[in-house]
Amino acid sequence: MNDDWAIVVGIRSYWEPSLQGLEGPENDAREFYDWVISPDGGGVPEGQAKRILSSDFQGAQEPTATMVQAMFDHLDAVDAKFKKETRTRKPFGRRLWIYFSGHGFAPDIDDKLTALLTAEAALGAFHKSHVITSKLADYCATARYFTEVFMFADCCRTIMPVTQLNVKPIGKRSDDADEVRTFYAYGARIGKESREWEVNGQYRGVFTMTLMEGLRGAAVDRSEKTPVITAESLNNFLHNNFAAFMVPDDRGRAGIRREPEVQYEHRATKLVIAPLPETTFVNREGNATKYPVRILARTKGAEGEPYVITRRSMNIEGKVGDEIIDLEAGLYVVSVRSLFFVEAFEVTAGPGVVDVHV
Amino acid sequence: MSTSRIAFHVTAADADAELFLVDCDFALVADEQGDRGIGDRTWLVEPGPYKVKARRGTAIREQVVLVRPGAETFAVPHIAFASPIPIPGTAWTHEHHMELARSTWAPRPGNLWITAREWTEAERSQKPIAEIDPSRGLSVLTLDGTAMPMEWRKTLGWEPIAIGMADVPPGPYRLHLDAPDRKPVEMMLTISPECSTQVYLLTETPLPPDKRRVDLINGAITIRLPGPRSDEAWQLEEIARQALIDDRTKFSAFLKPEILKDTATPMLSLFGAHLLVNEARKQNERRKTDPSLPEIDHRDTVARVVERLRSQLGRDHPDVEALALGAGVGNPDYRFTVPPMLRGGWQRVLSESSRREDLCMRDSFAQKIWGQLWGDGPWLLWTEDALHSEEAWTERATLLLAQFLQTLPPEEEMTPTFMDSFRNYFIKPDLPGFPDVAALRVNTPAAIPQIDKERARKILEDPEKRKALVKELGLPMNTIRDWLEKT
Repeated sequence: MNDDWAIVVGIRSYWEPSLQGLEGPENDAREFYDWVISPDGGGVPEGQAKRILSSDFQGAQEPTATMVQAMFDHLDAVDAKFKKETRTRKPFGRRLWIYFSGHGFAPDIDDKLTALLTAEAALGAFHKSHVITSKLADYCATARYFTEVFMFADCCRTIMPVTQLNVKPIGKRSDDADEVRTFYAYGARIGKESREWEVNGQYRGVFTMTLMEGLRGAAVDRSEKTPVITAESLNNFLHNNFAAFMVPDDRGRAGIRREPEVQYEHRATKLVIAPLPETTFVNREGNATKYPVRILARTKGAEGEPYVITRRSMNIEGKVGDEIIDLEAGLYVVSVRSLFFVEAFEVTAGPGVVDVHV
Repeated sequence: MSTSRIAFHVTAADADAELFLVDCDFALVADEQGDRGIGDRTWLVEPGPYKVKARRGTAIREQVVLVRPGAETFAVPHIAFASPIPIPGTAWTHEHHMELARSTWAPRPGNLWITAREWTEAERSQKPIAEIDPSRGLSVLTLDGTAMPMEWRKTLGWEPIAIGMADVPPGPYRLHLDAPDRKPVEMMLTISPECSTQVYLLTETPLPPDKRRVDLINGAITIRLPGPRSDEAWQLEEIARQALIDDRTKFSAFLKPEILKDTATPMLSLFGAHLLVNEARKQNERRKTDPSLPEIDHRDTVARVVERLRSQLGRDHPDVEALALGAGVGNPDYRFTVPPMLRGGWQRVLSESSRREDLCMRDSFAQKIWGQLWGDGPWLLWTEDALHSEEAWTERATLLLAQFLQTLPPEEEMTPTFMDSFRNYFIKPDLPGFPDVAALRVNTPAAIPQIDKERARKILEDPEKRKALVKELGLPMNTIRDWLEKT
C-alpha cells in the first residue's frame, strides 16, 4: 500500500451564518482518515494522506475551494516528477482514496454532480466556493495517476441554481484511462438532503456511519476464499444497510431514498478494497461487526421455547425471550420446532436492536 | 449439490418491474442470465433466506423470504412509480388530475399540449391556500423567439393544474422556461405533421411558492398518432424514460420486443432504441478491458425502428436522424439545423461530427446551443443565455482546447530506454508528500496556455483524438475546427 494516496476533507464551519449547524463532517472525516492510514484499514502512508478539516484553520473562511483543489494540483506535480524520472507512462500510484464531508448541493447546471461547499461559501455566490467531487476524482482517473480511484461524498445533494461550475480543467489524458477502476459512492441521492444524527454523544453522517461499518469488516465478501472487502461486497453492504443507519423517522418517509448512490463498473476481476481486519475495529456496541438481535414471543406460549437460528452452516440455539444475541449483518432463518414456526429475517448494521417475533 | 437446489420463481404484478434476488450475504444472485429479471424470473438457488427486491421507475419494494420446498414462488404486488403524467396506478397523482387529463384528451395532427401541475403528499385540508399557477414562466417560441399563442385551462388552489393547447404548424419550437434567480432554460420541441405532441411537467415542490416552477429535467414528453388513449402505453413510455435517466441498459432486453411492435408509440421507440444503442456502446467499452464479454449489436433492430419512425414522424425529424446515426443508417444528405429533443441524440450528432464535419449546419440554431447545455436527464436543455453568449464561453473553450492539445505528450518522449527500465526496477522515485494547506492562501487564476496550431492540426488528423475532443468539449467538430483556425 506504499503506492496509495488519500485526500480527506471535512468542513463543519462556514463563513455564511445560515450554513452553520452541521455537526458531523469533521467527526466523519476524522474517522475515515484514521481508517485510511491504519495498517488494518486503507494502509496509506501518512505522508501520502492529507486530512483537511475546517477546525485546522483560524479563520472561518478556510479551507477554500482553492486550497482543496491545490491538493489535487499537487498530484500533477507528483506525476510530472514520476514520469520525468522513470520515463514511463505508468501510473505513479496504485490507489487514490478521496473523502468529502460537509454541506453540498447538486448544481442545476448538471444535477448529476455533487458539489462540496467550501468554508468561504456565501449564499447566492456558490460559483467559486465549491469543488465538484466526482470531477476531481475523474480528473485523477482520466490522467491515470492511479489504477484505482475510490471517492466517497457525504454531502447534501439539494438542487441549487449556480451559474458557473468550479471545475479543474481537463488535465493529462491517458489513452489507457479506461483501465482505471473507479468506485464512487454518495450519501444522498440527488435532491435529497444527506442526513446526520447524534449517536453515542457524537453527531455523525448516516452515509459515513454505514460506510465505516462496512470498511471495518461488516462488508466482508464471503464468496472469496480469503475474507476480503471488495467493491462488490461494499456496494451490497451499503445498499442493504444504509436504511438501518437512517434517523428512524426518515425510514418510513416518502421521498427519502433508502439507498445511497454507488457508481462502479462490474468487471470479471473483483476489485479488492482491503483484507478483513484481524484486530482492533469494533462497532459502537463493542462487538466486532455484529449486531444485537432478540427473538421475542408474538404468540402466547412461545416464551421460553427453544429456537434455532441458521445461516449457511452456522447454527445458534437459544430460548425465545429478551436475551440478546449478536449476529453479523445478513439474512437468517429462525425456527421454533415446538410451534412449527420457521421464517426468514434480516439483520442490518444500524444502531438499535433487531427484534424478531415468533 | 445441484439436486438440492430449488427453482425459485418470482413474478411481479407489473410486467415491467425489475427484479433482483439478494442472498444471505447481501450479494445479488447472478447466473448466466445475469443478476436481474424483468416482470418474472426464475433463479436456481440453495434453500435458505433471500430478499426479493423489485424496482419500478424510482420506487423500490423489498421482502425477505424463505426459499424451501413448498415455498418456490413469490408474487410482487403492484408498485406505483412516480410520473409527471397523471396516469392511473402511478404515484404522485390524484383523481382530479387524472380526470382533467382524461376529459381533455383529444390528440390531433399538429396539436401541441402542455400539462403543468403540482402534486403534494398532504391532504386537501392541510394544504395552505396559495394561488400558484404551475404554468408560470412557460412559453413556446419559434426559432426566432416569437411566442406562440396557447389556450390555457387552469384549475388553481389545492394541487393546481394548467393545460395549454395550441395547433401549430409542424416544425421545430423552443419550450422556454423563465424562473427567478436563474437564467431561462430551453429545450427543443419538434412537432410532426401527423402527430400530437404532449408535454407533462410537475413543479419543483421543495422550492418556496414564489420560486416554484416546473421541472423540465424530469418532464415527460410523448408524441402520439391520433387514436384512443392508452394508459398502458403511457406507463411503458414512462418506465423507458426512467430507465434512460438511470442508464439501465439491462432493461433493453424487455424493451426490444416492445419497440419492434407496430403499436409502439414514437416516444417509446425513441427511448427504447437509445437504450439499445447505449447498451451496445457500454458493452463495447467493457470489451476493451474484458474481451471475453459477448459482443452486443442492436443496429438491425434500431434500423428497423428508425424506418418506422421516419414513416410516422417524417424524414427530417432530428431525433430520428440522430438515432439513425447510432444504427449506421444515417441519411448522408441530412444536416442538423436544430438539435434533437433527446440528449442521447445530441451526443450521437457530436460523435458523428468528428467524422462528418458538416453534419451540423454552420450558423444554424443547432450550432448556437453549444457551450451552455444545462441540467441532466434525457432531454437536451440549454440556458437561453447561450444564444447570445458565445464570447462568454470562448475563454473556457480556449482553456479546454489548449490543455487538451498540450497534455498529449509526443510518444517518443515517453518511451523508456533499456537503462530506464533497469533503473526503474531497482529505484523508486522519491515522490513529494502533500504541502501544508495553510501555505496555499494565494489565489492565482490559471493562465490560458497558447495553442500550438500546427500540432493541433496534426493531432486532429487522428479520428480517435477528434472523437475524444468532441466528447470532452461537447461541441460539433466543425465548430472546434472553425474556432481553432480563428484563434
